[in-house]
Amino acid sequence: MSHSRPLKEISCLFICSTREMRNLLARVIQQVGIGNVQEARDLDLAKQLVRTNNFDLIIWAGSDQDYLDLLRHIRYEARENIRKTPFLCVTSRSDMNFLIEGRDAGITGFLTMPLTLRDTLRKVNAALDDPREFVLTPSYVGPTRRRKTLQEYFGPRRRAEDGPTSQLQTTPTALPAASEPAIAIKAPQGPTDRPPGSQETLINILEDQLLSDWQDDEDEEAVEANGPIKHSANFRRRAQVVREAFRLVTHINEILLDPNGSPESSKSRISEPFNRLLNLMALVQAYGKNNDEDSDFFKEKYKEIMNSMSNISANLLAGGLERTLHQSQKMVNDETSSSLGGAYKTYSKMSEYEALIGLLGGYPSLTTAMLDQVKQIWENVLLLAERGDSLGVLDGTDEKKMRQVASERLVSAQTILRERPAADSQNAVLQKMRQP
Amino acid sequence: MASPEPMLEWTEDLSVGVDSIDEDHQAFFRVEPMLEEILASSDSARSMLIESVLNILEEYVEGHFLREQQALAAIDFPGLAVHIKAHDKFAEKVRAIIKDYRQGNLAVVESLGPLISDWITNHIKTMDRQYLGLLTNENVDKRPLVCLLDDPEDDLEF
Ligand SMILES: [Fe+2]
Repeated sequence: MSHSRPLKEISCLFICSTREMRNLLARVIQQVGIGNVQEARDLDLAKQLVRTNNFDLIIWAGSDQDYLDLLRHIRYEARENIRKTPFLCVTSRSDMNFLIEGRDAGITGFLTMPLTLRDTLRKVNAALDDPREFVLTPSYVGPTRRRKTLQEYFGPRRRAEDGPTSQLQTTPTALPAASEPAIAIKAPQGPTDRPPGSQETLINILEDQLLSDWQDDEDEEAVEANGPIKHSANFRRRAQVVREAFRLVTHINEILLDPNGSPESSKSRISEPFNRLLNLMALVQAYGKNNDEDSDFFKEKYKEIMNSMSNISANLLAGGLERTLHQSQKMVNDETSSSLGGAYKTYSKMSEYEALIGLLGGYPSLTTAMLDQVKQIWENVLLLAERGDSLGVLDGTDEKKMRQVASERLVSAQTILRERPAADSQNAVLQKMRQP
Repeated sequence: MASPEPMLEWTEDLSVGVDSIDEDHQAFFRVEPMLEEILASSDSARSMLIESVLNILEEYVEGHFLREQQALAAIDFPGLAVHIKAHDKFAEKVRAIIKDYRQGNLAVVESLGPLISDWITNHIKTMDRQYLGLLTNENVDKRPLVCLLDDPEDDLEF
């Protein structure tokens, strides 16, 4: 992938109103090798500059949407020479509305924080090399919004070729609950007024729920029909799921790394994106198991997401288990507390962590210390349930289910713990034998 | 809590006579003021900015060391192994600090800037000086250091 001119000869207008961001991005743009950079601290100055100067690339950085005005000005009013200039938006925003509005104003691409040189170079090259047709219609001016590659991002399309899903999108479906102990695609519950669901249909429905929708633009449809590249509609949707999963990983990391966020506030901010991520990952995992031409690709992507996830999960888990053990221990020691309520509280907490543990590869992948905590927590759940005073927190069946799950999980933890020292000592024996 | 010492800067006497390497070295020196500025700010994007600087620092380390090592290898530089060891040791230190930060020990970034400036100054004066005159604009890769990095997402383009 190389455009005709070296980056050294590219002229770039770069607009950013906050000093720290501007200085950082100026470095990044320089390190990527762009030769001529004109800096503007505000949009008014930028507007003046595009009136008289030509640029090969325009980069705006920030978190407001005030750049839209400049972008529309360029796309609709500005001189012919500047009209089609690639426009990149650098932002830490990742909410769909922000992206959609940029897209509808004719943006070329987004570069999301945190930055890397690699990513910046890739996006700059992609913007300069944009293969998409430039659309000029009364309602839209900009690169065609029909995305062709994963790299270029953006959402699933709802078209006839996308299969039966489109008619079904109003069907309410139940997503796998976060409290399910493992990630698996659960059959949607609720009205079953749709054709006998193949796994594929099921997955499409989940995708539709998990990804925000994009409106199709009718006047682009014609342009698009003659477009050169066609990935299958399914592939595009799946690629978007992968993209979205990566985005959520970044987003969750951002929350976790926020120095101003208290553990409590970050936990509540994480829970929604985290549950979505779990659901998306279940999808990507399923794509990898499809046994079609793309399944290897998705297997690979699943592994990559898993890797980024593991760090997050391990951190969340370590803190969470410790807290839960501590709290449940306190309840066990305190005879006066409502023990059945306590049992249930601990149980629901653990259900969340079980999902995380599932992501990490199940109990066998936990450290012995963590596994020991897990074991103790399940013991506490059972202890508290045993002391239960039936305050009506749970009805009989729920209580029974809770006890059952708790004892099952306790047994698995104990089994693995028992096997561990054996394996360790076996290793020690082998080690000894190898020594001269 | 600014360090009482004045910030170290790249000066002409630190030049090794190769433009691309001098530019890399200057990039290392600019990490400290950049971090300091971000740490002093109350920008809502602060953590994203820090994270970006850390990403870029990792890329500087990787790309610049590669540039030097490849060039030194190409001229059969006798001290290559020792030089690589020095690079690796620093790279490891940087990586450990970044990891520490990412695991929640946020304060560690405060000492990162001065550490880099210190190290790069010493390293240029003691190690890089040894290839003075041997590496030239002609036998060193001129491209921006990002081009020397392999791109893990290359296989993402299809
Ligand atoms: Fe060196």
